[in-house]
Amino acid sequence: MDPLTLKVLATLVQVHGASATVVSTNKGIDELLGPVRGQLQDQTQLAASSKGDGSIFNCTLPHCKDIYTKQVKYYKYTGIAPATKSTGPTKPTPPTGGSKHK
Amino acid sequence: MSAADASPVRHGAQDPTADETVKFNPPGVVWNLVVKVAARCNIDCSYCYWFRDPSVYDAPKLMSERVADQLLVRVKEQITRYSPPEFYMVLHGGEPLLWGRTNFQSFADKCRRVADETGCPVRLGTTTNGVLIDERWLDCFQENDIGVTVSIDGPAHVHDVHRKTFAGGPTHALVERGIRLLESRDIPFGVLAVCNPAFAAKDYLEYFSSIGATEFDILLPDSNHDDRRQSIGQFYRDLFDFWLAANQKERTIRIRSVEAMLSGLIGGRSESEAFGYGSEELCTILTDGSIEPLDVLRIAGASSTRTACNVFDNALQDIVDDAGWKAARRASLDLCEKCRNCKYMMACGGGYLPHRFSKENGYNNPSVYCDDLYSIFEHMQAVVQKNIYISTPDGENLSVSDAMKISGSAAAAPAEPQSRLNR
Repeated sequence: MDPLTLKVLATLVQVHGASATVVSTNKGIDELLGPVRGQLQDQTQLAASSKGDGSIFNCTLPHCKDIYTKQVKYYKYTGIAPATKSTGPTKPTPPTGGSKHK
Repeated sequence: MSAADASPVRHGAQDPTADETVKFNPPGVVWNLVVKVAARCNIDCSYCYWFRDPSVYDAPKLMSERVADQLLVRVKEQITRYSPPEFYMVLHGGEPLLWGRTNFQSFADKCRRVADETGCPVRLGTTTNGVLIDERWLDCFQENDIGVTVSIDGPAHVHDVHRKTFAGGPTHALVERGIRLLESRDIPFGVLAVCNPAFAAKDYLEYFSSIGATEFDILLPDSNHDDRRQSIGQFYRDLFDFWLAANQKERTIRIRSVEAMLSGLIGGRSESEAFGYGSEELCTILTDGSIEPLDVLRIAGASSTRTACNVFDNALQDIVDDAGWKAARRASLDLCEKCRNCKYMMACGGGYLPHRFSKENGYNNPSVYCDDLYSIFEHMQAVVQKNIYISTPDGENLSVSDAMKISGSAAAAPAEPQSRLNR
């Protein structure tokens, strides 16, 4: 199956009604879907879905507004936004087998 | 079966750039600089891209006050002319802390002045090996709101393989000491590692967990087609599995490379320059004031990033008209045929530009990690398909495959990239 591009998701959502949306039971994936849901909500934004933030990366050529998927915010060697200090270290479980992603 | 036969190419697809009406976006405004305040380092990492280019030794060891002041003249000029919402500078090296606290403090003071005069926030960050961090550096970071990222390759037995002192000794304990100091003041910091696929992703993850790092990245080792490279596919597939399991019920961990790849797969955007289709527009300022494109491109060879621009003779925006900078940008967008026909083109973007280089073809190659990246995307895609649902107005969660069956051919939209590039 092809990747779930915005276009594919938009089509699926449209077919299932105005208030249909895309969700995930995995919190990590669901958070990454947040911006995608925002774009899907307003079909008028689809044409500009991948062009950047619309300001300093603004494209003036109508036929290429939607071709980019990369919007670098920080250079890779400082690419990590400083983490908010938590009260204690989180200890996620390291991978141990093959079924953890089910 | 040959490697070519196994390649992820959709045969028979139309070449998207054959249509001459397809143009690339014009360059954006320069608002993000990597500032090389030190051209030397105090440790000797075997994989460092910077010292692969002997011309870096021709540059002054440290940025002079004259160059730094002239850079800020150009920054202020850039802000005044283009009004970006913010201006961001990463103080980088070599090892940037070799520039000294006095220089950091003075530069930060002057940046505040530029921000006050223009109304545009001027943000500073630095990426350090952490060895020189002490209490006075902590004061400097805190007083000037300088974002800190520490390079550490996980636990000592991994880190010390490549990150050594000039005498060949280990550096892990020195770096960890710096991290403990940052933690002692509750100073938030980022963590960056480089993947060593000879070790398990689990080794890195357990270590980062032990130091309380819940946001980090593990970068692909810098390599091009003229180098020997190791397969990184299994490492990143494991990394993704870990990320997925850790974030199942609660958002507990962020791994930038994983999220950049995944975002591209689900219709979102990558915030990493290493993944996703888009232009490479980062600029580097050298210690002598030269303005260059992405500094990692120097793994293509000596002086390969040299341009005719510098902060004394040129505005920052002049770089977008430099032939060398334009060539790098063009290369980032003008993908090779294999990439253009790959179903993961938009999510992958051809990989990281420096990783495409070969002496024979320049950048007209897929990433040196193409096969690995493809296997990672395949793995992610298979998992994502099972974890995404269409939530209908009547409260039903339909799997993507069920939703597609219901929507029939209407959902079978043409796959990227052809559908976008040929519009």
